[in-house]
Amino acid sequence: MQAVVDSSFYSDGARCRNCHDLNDALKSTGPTLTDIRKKYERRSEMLTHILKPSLKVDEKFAMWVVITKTGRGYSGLLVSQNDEAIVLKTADRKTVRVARSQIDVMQKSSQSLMPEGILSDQTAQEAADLLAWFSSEGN
Amino acid sequence: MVFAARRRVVIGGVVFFFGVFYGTILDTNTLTAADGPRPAWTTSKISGTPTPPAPYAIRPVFPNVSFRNPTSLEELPGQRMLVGELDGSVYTFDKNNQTQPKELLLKIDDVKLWHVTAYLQDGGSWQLIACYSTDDTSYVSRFNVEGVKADPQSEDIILTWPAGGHNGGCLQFGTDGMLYISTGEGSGPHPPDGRTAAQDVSNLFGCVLRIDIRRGENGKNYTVPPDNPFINLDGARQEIWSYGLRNPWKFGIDSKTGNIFAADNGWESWEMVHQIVRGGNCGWPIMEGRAVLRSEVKQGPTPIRPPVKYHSHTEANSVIGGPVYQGAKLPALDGTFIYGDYITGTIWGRKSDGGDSYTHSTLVDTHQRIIAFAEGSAGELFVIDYDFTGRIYELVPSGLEDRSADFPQRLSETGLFTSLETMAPAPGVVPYDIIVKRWVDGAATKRWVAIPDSGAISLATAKKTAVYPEGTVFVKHLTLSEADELRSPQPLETQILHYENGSWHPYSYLWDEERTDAVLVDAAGTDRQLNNTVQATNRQDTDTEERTWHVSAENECRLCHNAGSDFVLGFVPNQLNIVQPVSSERNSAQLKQLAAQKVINSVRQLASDSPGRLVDPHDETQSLNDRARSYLHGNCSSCHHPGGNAIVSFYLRRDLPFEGLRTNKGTGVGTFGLRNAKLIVPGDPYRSVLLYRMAKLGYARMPYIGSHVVDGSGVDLVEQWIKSMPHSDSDQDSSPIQDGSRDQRNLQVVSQFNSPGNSEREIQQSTRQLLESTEGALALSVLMHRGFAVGANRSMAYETSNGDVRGLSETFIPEKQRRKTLGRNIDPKTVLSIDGDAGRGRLIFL
Repeated sequence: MQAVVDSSFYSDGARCRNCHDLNDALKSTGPTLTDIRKKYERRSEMLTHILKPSLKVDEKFAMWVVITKTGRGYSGLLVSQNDEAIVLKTADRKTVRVARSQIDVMQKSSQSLMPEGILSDQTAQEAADLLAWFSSEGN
Repeated sequence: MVFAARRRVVIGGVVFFFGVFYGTILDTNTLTAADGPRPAWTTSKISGTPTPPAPYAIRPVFPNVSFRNPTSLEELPGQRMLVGELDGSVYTFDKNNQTQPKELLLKIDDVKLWHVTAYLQDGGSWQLIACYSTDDTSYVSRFNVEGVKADPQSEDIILTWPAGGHNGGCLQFGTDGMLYISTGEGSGPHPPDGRTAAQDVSNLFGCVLRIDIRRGENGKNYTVPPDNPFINLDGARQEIWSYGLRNPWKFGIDSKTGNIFAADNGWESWEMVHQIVRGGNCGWPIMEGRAVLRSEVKQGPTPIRPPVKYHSHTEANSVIGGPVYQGAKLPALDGTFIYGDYITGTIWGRKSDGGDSYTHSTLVDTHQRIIAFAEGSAGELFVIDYDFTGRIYELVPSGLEDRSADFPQRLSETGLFTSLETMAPAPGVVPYDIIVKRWVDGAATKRWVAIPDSGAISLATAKKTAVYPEGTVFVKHLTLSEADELRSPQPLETQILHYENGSWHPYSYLWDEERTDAVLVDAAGTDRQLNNTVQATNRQDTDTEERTWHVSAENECRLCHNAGSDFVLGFVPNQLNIVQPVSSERNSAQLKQLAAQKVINSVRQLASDSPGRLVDPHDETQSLNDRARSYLHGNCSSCHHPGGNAIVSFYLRRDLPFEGLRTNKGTGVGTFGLRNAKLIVPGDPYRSVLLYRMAKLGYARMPYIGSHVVDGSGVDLVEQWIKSMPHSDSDQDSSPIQDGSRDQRNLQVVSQFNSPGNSEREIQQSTRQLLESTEGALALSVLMHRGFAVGANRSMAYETSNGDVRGLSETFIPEKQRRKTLGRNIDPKTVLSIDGDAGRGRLIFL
């Protein structure tokens, strides 16, 4: 069976890896794989949240949309805020600081930063294999 | 010969197609006097909805007041309303005098204010009770009130407990005169109940508290009522009335029975409604809704009472409690606990029928971000929006009778057309055309606007949004060309967008194979297998193809037609601004005609230098930049605009300058093997993720709704446009496909494949080398869309097992021969029924 999977899948996996490190939260835009495994003990539950990332978005991973008074828009995770400014981490992992005085609209989106349909290109077997790996202690 | 000969140019076909439309727009309608007003449209049967209407509606009240992140709302004695805002501002305003502005009663600095309520004194005066949190402490305090001002210096702190994450903070006086206070479990969302505090009654976390603030004792500004449940339990906090809650943001008390209901926000899966009883253990975090969550947590002193109602996160995401309604205005809701959802905007009612039985109903689906409810003294049921509008609304009977059975189930019953055979519009229904037609998988589109009677539309201006008469319908009819050119195009779908009671509803009628009529599609959408007579797209081997036609679900329609995009996408000035090619004056011929027909109120001519001006993307007499920018505007900008629902914030609206598109960056979903990639790299299409994603099928395809076939002519256009832009100097060296590079030579070989000098073997060799990288494969696919190197290239490109490359060539392969992937609508069972192998999964992941 090993032959079925070859290195050419590199970029399919990168789809997850792009935002989820195995266990290093600093390298992860979303929760780490280890966190995810602990959070969803049942495969069915984990799969549900992979298929519908916006079903429940952890406060920490909610997407915020900020529009400035000059009409520029930013979206990303709200990583910090104080009276003067807010800091967003965008999907391309850049941090953007926006002065509060410049903010026209600031809204929390009900959408997850994680794209929909992430498994759409996988065969059922590949998806089952990925799910098995995400659930396994070894990851 | 392995490579098929270059076939007819699809791009040309599309140009031809658009040409036909411009030519026919004036003569396919029933109006003979093109410049006279249209006859009244009197035949509309489109009214109501195909599903029963909601029994209630909300209507805005108090038009002169709005709030910034309000958190609580109630009516004061003397018919003033009291509203608290998150930042600590507390306002009152006269409920009956609409011209009076709101007045600042109090500002508590540097806090998050959760709730304010009036503590009524004898003689009609009152004190303000506020619940707020600083970074580390939650407070319940009282303030003296004189007239319309509260004295900040008069703050008298009643109770404090540690703050953090979920703080609850709702304040309500019970029928017993006691003050009830909800508290959260004091942690952020993850991990669940991070302090493991909600089952521990030695602290005040995750509770409804009950105290008597009429007098103090033992140095406290309150007393504990002697009948509180844990008054004699060692180590327990005596203030607790009920516990085991996560974040009971709002609760309501039945003024007749004293029963208390709390809406509690769950974690990952459930939202809960709890009845709050003396000593009641609501279960968190041992339970979340009906599911066991943290079974290792030591249970509190009393048994767990399950919620009286729960919602899975597919129905609700953050429930907000309201009153137990007793007013006279909505008698059907008497004794009903009202609650809603902050995320979905739905409002429900739950009424106990005695014992455990109850009646539950959905009252209305709103578009508001519900944050609090209040019952007014005249029986009004108020709802306040947190940050969409910051306004107050009143729940009223919708007054809509259930006429769902009358909604036209067939296109022939709508009153839009007098003949479906010729698609002859009914008198008063007017055809129109738009400049940039979105790619709909090779289908041709025709449009009509239908306004009941003699109404007219006011188009949007820079300052005002558009105004549509009640009952306006936009119609878009889709047909696919048959491969047999003698056969007329096959009708597929007739989509309508209907305006009624202030909202837009999208519907689709799907045509039958006999072409006699079209049937209304369910809100969930549907798929139809097209028979093997329609013209093939994207140069597949055969002239015809079998494929699946997807009719969008209502929710898919709304992803483009929504408030953020002002719902109507085509009938807007820059799309309607068609100037007849024959006209000698450069005026807005179509807009003028629509005004003459009294379809629109006035002509707003678009200046020729208007930044939003669109051109036909396939009109080669226009500049490449105008064509490509118009194409991207028409196909992408309903999501990709400032404030739109796209995940990566870059914009494709025509009126923005190129620098304003913010495409000089990567994307969150990866670069698919493109090296040094950005959304758009000027001068380098093959490092531009935008081009890659519109050229592929499957995961990360764009657009991801409304299209399932690659638009070869669009790919061609956008590639030319990106290539035409000057390369920035600093960028030039990082281009993977440079002049003189191996792939550049390979592209030359492929593009000259039918020149005598190239042998088949050379071409295959070049193709293989190009497929080694995503950039090479992207460049190759552009050539294939232009008609070069199809044939064996197709399968070679497809058979490569790299998913990123495969997605580019999939569109050249007949649907039935494609690898069977899960696709977009995945039934979890298909995955869960298979045993996965973690080792293989790891290889896929790494």
